[in-house]
Amino acid sequence: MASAIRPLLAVLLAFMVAPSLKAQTIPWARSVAMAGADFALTRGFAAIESNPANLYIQDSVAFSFGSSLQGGRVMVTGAGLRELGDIVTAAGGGDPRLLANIPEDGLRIDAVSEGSTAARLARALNLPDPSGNADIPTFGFTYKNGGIVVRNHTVISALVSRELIDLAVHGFNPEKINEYAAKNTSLRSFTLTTATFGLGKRFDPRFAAGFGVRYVRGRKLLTGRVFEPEIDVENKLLSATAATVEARGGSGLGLDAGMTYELRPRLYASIAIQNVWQRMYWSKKLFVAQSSFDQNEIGAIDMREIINRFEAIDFEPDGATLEAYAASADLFEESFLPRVFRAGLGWKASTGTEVQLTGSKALGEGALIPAGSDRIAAGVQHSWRGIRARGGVAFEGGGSREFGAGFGLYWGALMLDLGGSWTNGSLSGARISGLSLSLAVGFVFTELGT
Amino acid sequence: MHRANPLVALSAVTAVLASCIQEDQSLPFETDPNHTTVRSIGPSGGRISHPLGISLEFPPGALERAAQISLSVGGSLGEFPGSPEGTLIPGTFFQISPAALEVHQPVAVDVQVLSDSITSKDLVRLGIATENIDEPITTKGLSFDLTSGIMHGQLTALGAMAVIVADNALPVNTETPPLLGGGDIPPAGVSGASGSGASTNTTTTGAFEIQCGHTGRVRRCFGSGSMEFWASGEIQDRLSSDMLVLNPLAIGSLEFSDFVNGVPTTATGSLSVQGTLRVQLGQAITSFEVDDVFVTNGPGGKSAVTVSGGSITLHQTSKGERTIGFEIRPSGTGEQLIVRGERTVEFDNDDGTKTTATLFIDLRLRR
Repeated sequence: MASAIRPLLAVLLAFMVAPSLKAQTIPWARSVAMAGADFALTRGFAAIESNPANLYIQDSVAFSFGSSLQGGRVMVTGAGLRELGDIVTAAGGGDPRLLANIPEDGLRIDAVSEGSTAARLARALNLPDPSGNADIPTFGFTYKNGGIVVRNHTVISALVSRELIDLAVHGFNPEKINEYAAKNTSLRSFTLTTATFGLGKRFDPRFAAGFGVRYVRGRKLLTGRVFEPEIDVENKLLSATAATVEARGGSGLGLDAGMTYELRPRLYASIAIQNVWQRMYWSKKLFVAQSSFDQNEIGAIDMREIINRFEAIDFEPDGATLEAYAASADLFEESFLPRVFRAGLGWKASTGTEVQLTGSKALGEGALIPAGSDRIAAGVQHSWRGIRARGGVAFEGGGSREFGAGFGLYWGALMLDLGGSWTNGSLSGARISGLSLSLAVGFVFTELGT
Repeated sequence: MHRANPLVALSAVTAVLASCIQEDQSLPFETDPNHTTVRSIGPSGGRISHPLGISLEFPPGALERAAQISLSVGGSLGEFPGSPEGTLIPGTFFQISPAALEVHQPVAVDVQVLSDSITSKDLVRLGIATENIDEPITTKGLSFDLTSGIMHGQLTALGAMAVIVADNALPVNTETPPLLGGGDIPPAGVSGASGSGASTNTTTTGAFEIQCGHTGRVRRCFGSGSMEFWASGEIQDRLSSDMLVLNPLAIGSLEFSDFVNGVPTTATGSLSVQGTLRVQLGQAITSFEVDDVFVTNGPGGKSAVTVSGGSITLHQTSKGERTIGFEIRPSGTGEQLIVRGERTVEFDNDDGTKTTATLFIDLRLRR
């Protein structure tokens, strides 16, 4: 039976290895380095999605281009990242202390990554591409006071019951047959391609406003669930069933609005709402993948074969299993983008140093790109020759903190930004750990034609 | 003023737009209770389901030829045919047509059960009631996922069906069973005697009998006290303490003969004990079958018997040599023979060893 349960757990954990979240989209590297504080002073292509008012020509930015080559963020609730690694590799021989901090309701992992990053990882591990071939890196450009960002990202959220974590850490113990349970072990993922067009306008020397229009192409929305194992006590047989249901394709539209006001020279205040209005509809043609395993077949084959066994077929409502119905129950639940409100202050010193303070809050429903906790972040950037050194800290509702750091290298118009952040804290007594990384390249022309 | 206009306009537009809230998209399933699912299923098998919570899987060979199977939500529970032994669970009454269609293999059925409508004590008593009133509640091979509320079972006929909390169940005592004291098996209805000296041989008539079960003239076991289950400590340790045997059935007779010094040396008869042991394992309810049948099959259908203390050994039975505990008690004007059968289950231990656990089944045979 040990061999039966471990691979099932491994399937789930393998899904999670792809970068994942309790965050929003992967911010640009500059924002990651400032723990998400880059808002009131954001500019160029980075302003299109978060604060379109700042697309007005600031600092003589006439043309900018950027691409986020690789990026992702993973958040773990119930364990530290190192402990998560130990759990994944425990293979039944882990340290019993690994279970100590796992909450009763299980271990949760949320990850968001660039579509290209998810696809690269999947290829490396010989696993199905969770991005649905959305593997073009995010890129954006601005020309004067308008611009567009095209973004591919994949989000995976998984919950694994404490009992299955126990199996991974200790291995199967037949004496505990009465304790093992899948409970709420489940998976949800989606991949979106968004194209956001933003336009900013300066209404007077101190006030600018802007709006954004976002076209959303839903590539894949998937929910999955592991059902309680059926145990044949007499014949010592265990079989477990897992099912996933997915919608391939969808479309949506969102509107953003923002404004920036120069309170005093070099001191700016901004507010913006992402998805002031939005609509998102997924294809109603669904696909289902379901498989059952018993210990004999699982023990003899490679784990990747198990994952690849989940071959999706048409979901036929008149001929579906109840597991498929159950897995589909929350497929469309809040399957649209959340509305996010941001407000911030930014100060630019005459030396070029920038300081920003930003608060954000999710309003209403919408679980695609879960907005995460309400948060307030402070960040700083210091310029020295061609180097921009950045740092930041954010405090999130529930008690977790994010610390960010990074740098940018500038050679004339060319730039290379790298940002990373570390999150820790607790939520309702459960430990939260997170890691973000983002790498971007781009160029900025401050005077068009020169 | 020049500055305020765009600010006011933007704010106003934002407020208007923000008041438009998106609602959850609905699933593309027909959830109308009046909806009837119809599918053609042939000899190679197939699945038919209804979004309101039932799915049937016909295995290959279940149907002789292709048939239009329809599946619909039943009416109120009061309209369920017959008087099933138990409490029907709302939302689980379905009609599978054509009811007269013969199925040659059990059809796997999954039903969505709202587990919050059932008490925890009743979870182990789930079964499937069918419109065939001559059949007991279906309990064989049934399992229930407490997390998702999906119940897996089997049907041997089509027609009306509903999930039921069965009341034809015997609890399994979670105590060490009392020792059986043996005793003298008295001959009854002496028909002849022979022998010399201290040795006296008698031939008797009159068998000890038991018959308890589900239908017709046969009494239920739990009302008669004819059958009692006990679990060994090992079973209690490994499995849930709430255990039941559903659809208990015991039929049999034992007639002792060829007494030597008041002790029988042969016996004729058979014993059959059946039922479904139901137990909760983690978040799942699971079943396993108790099915113990033996017939004496020595010369003339008899078996040589050795009585020793509290046990009887039947040397020639369809299951080989059987040793069973026994006790003789007076019962009204007659006698009661309590025999104890055992059903063993082997559990693996973490260190690679095995633990044998025993389910004890006491039967009270009377004459």
